[in-house]
Amino acid sequence: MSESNIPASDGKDLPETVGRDFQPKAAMVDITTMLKDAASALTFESPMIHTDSFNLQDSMAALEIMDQKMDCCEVPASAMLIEPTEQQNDKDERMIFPRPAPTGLDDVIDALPWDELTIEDAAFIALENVIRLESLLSGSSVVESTYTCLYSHKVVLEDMHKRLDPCMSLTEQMKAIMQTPTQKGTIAQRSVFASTLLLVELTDLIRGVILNADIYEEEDFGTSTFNIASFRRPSEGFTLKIVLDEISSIEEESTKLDQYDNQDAFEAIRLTLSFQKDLMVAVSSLARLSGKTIRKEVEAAQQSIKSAKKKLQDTVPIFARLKEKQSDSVKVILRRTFDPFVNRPLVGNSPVRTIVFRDAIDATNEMIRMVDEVDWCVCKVILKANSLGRIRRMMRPVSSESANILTRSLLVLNLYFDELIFGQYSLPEMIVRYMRQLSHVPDSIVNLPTTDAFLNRLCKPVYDTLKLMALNRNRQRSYLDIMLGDWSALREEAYIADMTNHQDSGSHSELQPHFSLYVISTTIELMDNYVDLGVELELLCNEHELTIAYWYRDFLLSSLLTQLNTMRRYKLDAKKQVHQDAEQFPATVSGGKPQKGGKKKGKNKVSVANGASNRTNRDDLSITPTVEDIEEEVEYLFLNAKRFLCRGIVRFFVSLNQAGLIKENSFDFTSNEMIYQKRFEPFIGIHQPPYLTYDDYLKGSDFTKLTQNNLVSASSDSFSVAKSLIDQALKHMSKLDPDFLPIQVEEVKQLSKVCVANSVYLQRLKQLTVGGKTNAKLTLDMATHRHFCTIKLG
Amino acid sequence: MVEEGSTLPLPSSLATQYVQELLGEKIVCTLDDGRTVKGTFICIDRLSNIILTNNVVEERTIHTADYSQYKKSSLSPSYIDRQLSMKRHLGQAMIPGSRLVKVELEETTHEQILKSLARESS
Repeated sequence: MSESNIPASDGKDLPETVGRDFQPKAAMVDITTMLKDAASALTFESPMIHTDSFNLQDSMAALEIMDQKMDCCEVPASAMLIEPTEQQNDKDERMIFPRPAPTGLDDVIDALPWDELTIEDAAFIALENVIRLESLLSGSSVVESTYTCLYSHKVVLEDMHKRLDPCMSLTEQMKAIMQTPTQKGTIAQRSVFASTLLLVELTDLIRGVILNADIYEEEDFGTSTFNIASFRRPSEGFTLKIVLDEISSIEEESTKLDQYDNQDAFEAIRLTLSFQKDLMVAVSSLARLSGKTIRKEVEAAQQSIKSAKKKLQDTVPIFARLKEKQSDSVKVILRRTFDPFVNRPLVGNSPVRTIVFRDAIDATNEMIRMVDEVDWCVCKVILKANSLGRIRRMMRPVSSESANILTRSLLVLNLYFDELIFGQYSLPEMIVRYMRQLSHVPDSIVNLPTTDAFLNRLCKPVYDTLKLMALNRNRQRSYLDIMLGDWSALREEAYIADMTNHQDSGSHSELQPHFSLYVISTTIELMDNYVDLGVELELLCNEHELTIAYWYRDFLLSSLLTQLNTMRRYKLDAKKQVHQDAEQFPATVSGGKPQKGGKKKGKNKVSVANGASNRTNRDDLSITPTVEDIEEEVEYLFLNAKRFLCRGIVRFFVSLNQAGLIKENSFDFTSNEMIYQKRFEPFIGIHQPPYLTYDDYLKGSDFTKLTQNNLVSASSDSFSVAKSLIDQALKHMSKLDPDFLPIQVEEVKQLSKVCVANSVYLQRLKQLTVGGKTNAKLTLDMATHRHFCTIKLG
Repeated sequence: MVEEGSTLPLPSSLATQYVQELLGEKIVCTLDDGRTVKGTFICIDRLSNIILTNNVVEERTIHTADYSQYKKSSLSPSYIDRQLSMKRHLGQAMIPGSRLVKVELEETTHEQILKSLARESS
């Protein structure tokens, strides 16, 4: 009989039992033989005896007890060893129930380390808490991260608080009134308490932020707490007070130390506690911005974040030194304190997740990266992005870098509050300024009541385009699907607004459809983003699908550039007009705003929703380009470069097809046309730009009339033009603030590499076709740039 | 034919009928590691795999020694291994026939089933 078959005691001599059934037992009859006889009588034709309602779903939903993969409460006994053996995956290995959750410091299963804690132990426990925090932020639920630390359980924290609170008893409270209360417990104990308290406080704070923002997806964050109780802080600011007291206590103690005497351990604890405290202060401040002091609060939060990052960076070499000298007793302490299986009975079985924590260095570096994100993704954006164009440019990296869910949640929480963008700017006014930046929207149009109404109508869709960039990258496509419908419907309203404005303004010049242009260009950008994401997420991945994707993107980018060119032309014409007027009538121009059509409106000021614009139209029409003009110009150049890159890649694929290097797809249950229709289904309802059918694609990509050489040359030219546009943009970029760049320098280099590499492989294709070889190995490389492939020929 | 008040074992031919009558009743299964699983019986197959449903309760004994192996490794003779009972609630569970040792039923329910079989056979 194995050890595991020791029969349970009858409970009479056990002082503590958990979950014991004390109901008087009914008399039971052994029916084992009956069941086994009935089972053995079953045949293949009639393999089961079951109730009428029993079905396949019931059988699949049933948990197979004792199955090592399916049953979460089967833990290898060797996992409880200090140094787990290699037998962990052995099928015959003894399995035990996960360690029950602790009931206090003096837990009956295994008392938690307390009296024997040393300062070195406390330092490593603090480090492990940071690893748990990183795991929480990376997507693990609280029971898979925070509460794998046995100290963080509510009853244990309450026990620690009771033992360490200098004012727990009445006598102590009386003494505290008379004099400063003396600290109870050792520094190691207080440090462990402070560090664990911070872990729990940060967990609750982070959960609150993420749930409030409500943009998380399943893979971002585990929201369920599985009913695990969290320690209740006795008062507001309790955690901060405990931590600040402990940090000053450690600082005081470390001044008394000899240089060889545990200085690293003290410093490690001080830095870790300070890091957690700074992070907590910054996040709680950013989650509650309001009122007129927003900029000051964000600046203060930014300082806290930078301080937190610095402190965490400083811990890395210190912990490296401590690890080299780490004693075995520390390993034992950590094993007793952290148990990844303790909450298994809570989490259920579908599926049983293996909890894996990063090692200390990786976790710390990852934590540093996440903390840094809060600075550039949240604080900088709130402080610096003062126009719609700049907000879009600063938020794009948040999307493309797949920032952490906490960062994105903080950004969304602060995106629009107190009826203002970032609590600072009126959104309708921002939209008008942005439209004026791109095009020339005269005051006579901006002042009209229909403009107010339409701008208010535009607010929610524009807000959605910003919020989109904070969503999980993998899920943006499904939101784009919905947004495209909204923007498509806006086009008609924009047209009506333009017509009405044109009539109301009494202008005799041709209709300049400013709102329509803006709505259409935004719609096309969303469509392009949709196709782009399909490539990035590998929904469009083989040669045929990528050809279609780039072909469609070529069309979309060309349409977008057409709209932008029209808007730029209006602006240029207006600039010329203003400067002609300035030359002809210098006195008039230096005064008030020109009134087109000669009518004075009742409302002379811009009555755009929440406020009046202080900038006149004239400011946007100065002959010297402003910084924002250069930013828009750079963005324009990159759009053009991407268009040529798409064009070049399409021609490259067509050349390969002509050379017989791409195999045709064949399907039994579908067809290329059906796949195409499915991929671009959201575009069907959009009238402008018109939806392109599969036949349009076949016609558009039919280059049979061109020779292989001509096709290769055309492709090569496209890559050359793209490269030269990129180089041109790079020259402008050096004059700009890096935070306002439409594309990061690293990405610019990647795009250049793609252009050059594709040009090189085009030459290789030329050599192959001249040599008559048709069996070259073709590889599509998305590693250089995630949106544009390098077509490699081996 | 089943007589009223008969005790086990019943003839094999009646086993299938007995098990069919047993469907929907609460039974207690004991597995080879000593744990018990209580629930409503809804299915059995050729390999004696049993499916229980309706607030299934698994109860097993744990040993504190399993969670404090560092103490055992210090060979402390004064260490006391305590046994505790742990309960787990499941929605639906499958008991593997290969690990099944015993199945029990409340005597009153057993007698009701026998009466029912007796009525049918007469």
